[in-house]
Amino acid sequence: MRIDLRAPIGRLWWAGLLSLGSALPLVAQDPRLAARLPSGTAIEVQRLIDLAERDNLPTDPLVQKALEGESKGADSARIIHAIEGLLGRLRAARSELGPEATEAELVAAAAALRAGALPTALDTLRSLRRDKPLVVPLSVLADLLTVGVPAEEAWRSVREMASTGATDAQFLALRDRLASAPPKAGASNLRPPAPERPPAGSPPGPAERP
Amino acid sequence: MTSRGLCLFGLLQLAWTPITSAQVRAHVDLGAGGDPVSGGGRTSLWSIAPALAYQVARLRLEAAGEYRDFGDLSPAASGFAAASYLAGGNGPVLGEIVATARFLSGPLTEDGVAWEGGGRLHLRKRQAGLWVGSEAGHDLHGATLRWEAAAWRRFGQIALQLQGSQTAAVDPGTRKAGGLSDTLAPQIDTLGARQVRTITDLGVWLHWSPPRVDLALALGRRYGFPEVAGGISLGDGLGQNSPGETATRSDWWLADLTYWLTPRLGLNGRIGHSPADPQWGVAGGAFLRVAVRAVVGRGGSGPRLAESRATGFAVRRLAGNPVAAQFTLNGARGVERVELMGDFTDWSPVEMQRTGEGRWELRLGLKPGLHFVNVRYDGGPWRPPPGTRVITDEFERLTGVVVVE
Repeated sequence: MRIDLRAPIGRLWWAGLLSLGSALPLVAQDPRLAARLPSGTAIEVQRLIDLAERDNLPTDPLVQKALEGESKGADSARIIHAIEGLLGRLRAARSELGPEATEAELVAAAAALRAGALPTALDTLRSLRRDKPLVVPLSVLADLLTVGVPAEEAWRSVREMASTGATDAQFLALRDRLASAPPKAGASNLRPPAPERPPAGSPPGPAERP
Repeated sequence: MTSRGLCLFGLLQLAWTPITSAQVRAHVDLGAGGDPVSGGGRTSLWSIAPALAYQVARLRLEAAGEYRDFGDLSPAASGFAAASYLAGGNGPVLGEIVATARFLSGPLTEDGVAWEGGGRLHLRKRQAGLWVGSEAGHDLHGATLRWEAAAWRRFGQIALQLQGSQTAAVDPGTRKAGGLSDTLAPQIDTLGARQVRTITDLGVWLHWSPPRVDLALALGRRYGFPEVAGGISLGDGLGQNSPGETATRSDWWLADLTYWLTPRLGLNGRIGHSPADPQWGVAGGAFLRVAVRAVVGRGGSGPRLAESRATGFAVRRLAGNPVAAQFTLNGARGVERVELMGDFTDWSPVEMQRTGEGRWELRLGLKPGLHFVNVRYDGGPWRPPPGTRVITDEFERLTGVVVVE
């Protein structure tokens, strides 16, 4: 069948094809993003998620980061920036831990990298615990760095423990020993304080009631 | 849809929002004593002062008022409604759009409403910041223009704020005399500079908010009254000037203390000296008020008390179910609701169940690994659960980290 694009029906058919094409990215979008984010942000986040999928990286952590940003009132630019950062760390983690790394390991590794761990530390841990999961050691490393244990000391402790074949419970005990004082949660408020006004007095001279 | 319909739709949206992420604060003060009134040495006998604040994401709405009863004299009432919207990124620079309306009613003052709107530019970090702003509006006598600048810093539970503002307004002294309109006064657009009254306020505020106490201390000085209307006695609010004399400054101070007996009931004491306010024809003077403060709905010191009392947060995998866990929060007493959200709830609030005095529990699907979590008490701000490792997330909020084996 030959479609005459000059005819009204033909133009309609052509327009329908175009609409379908433009709607395709929405069809593939994670419904949670579409429901919670502005459409422009959701499309950009989905683009990053597609990149992650192409690189065989877990996508749910990226979706969660977007939803976290939305629930905490972040604007689109901030959300995109956060996801780009997380995507970069997940890529680095995959590169160091290898294709067999689980989603949980990649998330823990990304947290450790954000806390200040060197990418080479991931590779060393992988080689020290070749057949054991790395989630807890990586989480403990991230924890120690987060609470302010000096990076060298944190890494040395985790590496030594990994080299002795320590269990997850022993890693958690190490964390509790080195980071016994949890950091104080200071004020965290996006909203700056409001302007103050001097106290206001009463109107002058109330009159006698009739 | 008509504009009225749009307004109604907007209000419905706002009303619906508290279910998810809004913070609502409301309290009412029932007080004895109050402000003096000039010329009679009388103070109000009792007062009632409701206040409401509603915050969702970047929008904040606030309203407060006070009704003062003088017994056998006519009452006075005052109040304000304000809206603020933060614009821009989560970086150090923020814009803010603000609008405020005020009203004052009293027997010998000019009852009416004043409004102003404008913007502020904030430069802020987590614990310190500054801003500059400008607002234009209209008061009882004509157009007003105000600029302000402030610097603030938090030291743990203490917040310090230095602030300066300057307001230019039509001088009511040239339009009014003895409470009556001065029909001999020329129109504003034909007047010289002396018809514009400029008021400059400088002040320092200190707020301290440990779990059971809210304390505000303030000290300031008001400059610049080019002319004082003869019919309005400004008393010692302007130093020792008698009516009709030019005054240059007025000092003021304030101490406001609330002690929370329970999360929803507190005792409030307020003492100080208010400055004269020629725009409203208010003389200022010493004031003392003692009040009972009752929190309506959520708020009060409950979230802070619960946060300070909460002793532990634990996540335990459920036996026989590798992808489910039980969250337990202990010690969070004095609140009606505890919610939790994290990367395992799609960052949507999920209500925890009270299972004992201060004990809250929740069972959810949860895979082993590293998870991020926040809790909030009675709709207050999201906090890291007690005892968890705390990180500053990409959105500059504090988030708890838990490891599930």
